Amino acid sequence: MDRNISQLGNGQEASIRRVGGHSSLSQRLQELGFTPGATVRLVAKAAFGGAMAFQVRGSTIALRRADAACVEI
Amino acid sequence: MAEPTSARIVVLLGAPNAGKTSLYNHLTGSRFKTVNYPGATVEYSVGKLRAAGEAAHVSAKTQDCHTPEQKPSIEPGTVQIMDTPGIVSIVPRSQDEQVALSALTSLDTVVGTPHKSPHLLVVLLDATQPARHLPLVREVVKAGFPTIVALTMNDLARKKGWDLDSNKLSELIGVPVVEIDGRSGIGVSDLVSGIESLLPESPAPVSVPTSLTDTQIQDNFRWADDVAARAIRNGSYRPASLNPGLGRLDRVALHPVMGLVLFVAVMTGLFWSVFSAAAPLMDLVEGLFGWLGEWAGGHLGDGLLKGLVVDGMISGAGAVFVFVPQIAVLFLVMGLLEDSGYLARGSMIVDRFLVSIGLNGKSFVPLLSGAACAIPAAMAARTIPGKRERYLTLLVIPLMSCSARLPVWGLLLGFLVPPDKPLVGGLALTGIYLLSIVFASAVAVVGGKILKIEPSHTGFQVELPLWRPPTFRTVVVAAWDRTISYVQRAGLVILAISIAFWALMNFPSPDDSAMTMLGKVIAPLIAPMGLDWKVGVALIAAFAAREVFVSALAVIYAVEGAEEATEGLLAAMRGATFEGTSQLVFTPASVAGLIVFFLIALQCLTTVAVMRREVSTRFALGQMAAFVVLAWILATVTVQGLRLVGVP
Repeated sequence: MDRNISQLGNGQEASIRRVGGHSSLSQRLQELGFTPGATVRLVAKAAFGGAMAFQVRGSTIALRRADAACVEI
Repeated sequence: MAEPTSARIVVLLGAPNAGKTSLYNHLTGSRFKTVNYPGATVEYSVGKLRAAGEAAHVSAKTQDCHTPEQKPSIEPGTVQIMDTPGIVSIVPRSQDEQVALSALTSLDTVVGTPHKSPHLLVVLLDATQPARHLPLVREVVKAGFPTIVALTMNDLARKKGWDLDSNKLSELIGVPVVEIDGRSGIGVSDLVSGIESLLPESPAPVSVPTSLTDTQIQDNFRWADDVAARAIRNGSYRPASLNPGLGRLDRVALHPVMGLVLFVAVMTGLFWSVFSAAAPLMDLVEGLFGWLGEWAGGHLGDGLLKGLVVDGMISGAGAVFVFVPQIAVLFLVMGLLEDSGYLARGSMIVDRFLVSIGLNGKSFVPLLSGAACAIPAAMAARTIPGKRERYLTLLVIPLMSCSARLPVWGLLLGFLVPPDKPLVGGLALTGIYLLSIVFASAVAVVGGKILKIEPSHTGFQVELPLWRPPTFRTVVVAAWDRTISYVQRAGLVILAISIAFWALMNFPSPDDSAMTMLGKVIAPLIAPMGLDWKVGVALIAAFAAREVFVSALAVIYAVEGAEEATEGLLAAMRGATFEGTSQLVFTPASVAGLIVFFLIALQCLTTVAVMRREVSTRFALGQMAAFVVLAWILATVTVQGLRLVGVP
């Protein structure tokens, strides 16, 4: 099973391997800086399985958990 | 085709929240409200470039409760600056991004110019996140636009531990780079000289890509990482230093438990403060109008003119303007939230809940601004990328309790809650806001079943901007502008309706007036709600603007003897009976029914016009009809239900 950034623990970093999912979503994620090779750190999780905040390329970006699951590490 | 007399256009372009509107204000001398939330600008603004050294001709503008202006007209022979919504990429994925893209490729359709593309682009580059904003710069330069890069927020970048060298950047990108400070305006005059020296006579031919491949996106970022690393002066650019972890504030605001508690506290505080912080000011306004009525009454003598001025104009306007301090407080607190950077965090926290009713985390800001006014809220919904989620958000925006309803709540709660219990009053108002959220959620769920649009694969992504202590001056000025704009808009309508009402009630004669005749016609429709025809007429008048309900009641009952603004009106309401009987019109049950009616009914024609433009005529008319009918049914059910269980 491929690991993705939604499975990171708080404060953990990983390098992106590939971005999957529907093409419009995967392109938008890449345009936001989640490209293969970039280092991502999980910094916060909202309650009840809600959105997660990641740091990538110096920005902090919140993603829905299902979207984050498209970013494989 | 270039005409020497036509205006030359400079478009400001950049990522959301990069500071375009701040820069626009500096370049044109405008006073647009800037907001620390990605996606605050959803429309164009066009303004004349101020020559270096020219004094600011400050023009304040707000979008509240105004239909957005038509195609802006521009003066020939001038240099015009155009502000656009933020974009992440040259390929748009939401309505607001589409708006920005139109400024690049079909400019002639949005402003009065013969050109399809602008003469010059000023692209903003946020120094705190250079690697993320550089790909857009590369795409527009590649497309062939003459470009200047405005490097913003370098002061914040220095705090983060690096410093971008604008000369080095310019060398690497191949276009001029000017460092500016959007808050203080330092560097803006250098940018103006840059614009003047670079501005061509006619636009360059450009070719804008309509899609990018994964490889192109990745290649842009490789280039951007490399440029950013080489342009950093003190050479401490490593991925680790770019991801420094969360600040102290975010450790609370984004904490799963504390963040949720904080969110509920912030929202409750917002609505609570509307009630409690405004109270002393309201007494002041009330006193002022009472004094004005007495003064005018003393100077006008007895007769028709006194009736018109004192009973028609002053008591009508006074009854509503008593509540202006509440509206000002609402604008002030919302301004503080907007300026701080909290809104994006809020949308991250509520995404989970909004998804479950078919909306999106990005619906949060439009819905919250719906608590001020549905018109800017409907436009703010353009930032929601999925069509289905956007339409559902637009569907429920009018159910948010907007500022026009505040005077109505003030009056009706004043009737229900004894004045010596301010705590209960504050709770009751918070309860009304809660009730509006419950209604809106239910309608979103039902609407989701009716709406035949496939869900899109857009998900939810939002950038969390840096926290920023709100600048007191900006927030106060913005709240002042919005309040004045409210007073002007509401004041005119209220004055006109009050005068019309007074005339309808006094002609042909007070005993046999035009109003009575109209009243008799609508009485059967209003009877199930437990009310008489007089309230019915006021409800119809409220379609001009909701707060007119209060001034209409004031005019109706002022004629029957009351004198002072709220106190007098409340006393008149407590004594009002159905004609020819001793049965009271306003009882706890019928007032509760009125609250339900106002929560749901779509009584704002401007909102209908904006919905028509944002979606379609069918949607707008259907929405209005559905909400008015639903309001009537639920109000009737409330009144009759309460009576059934023994509430008078």
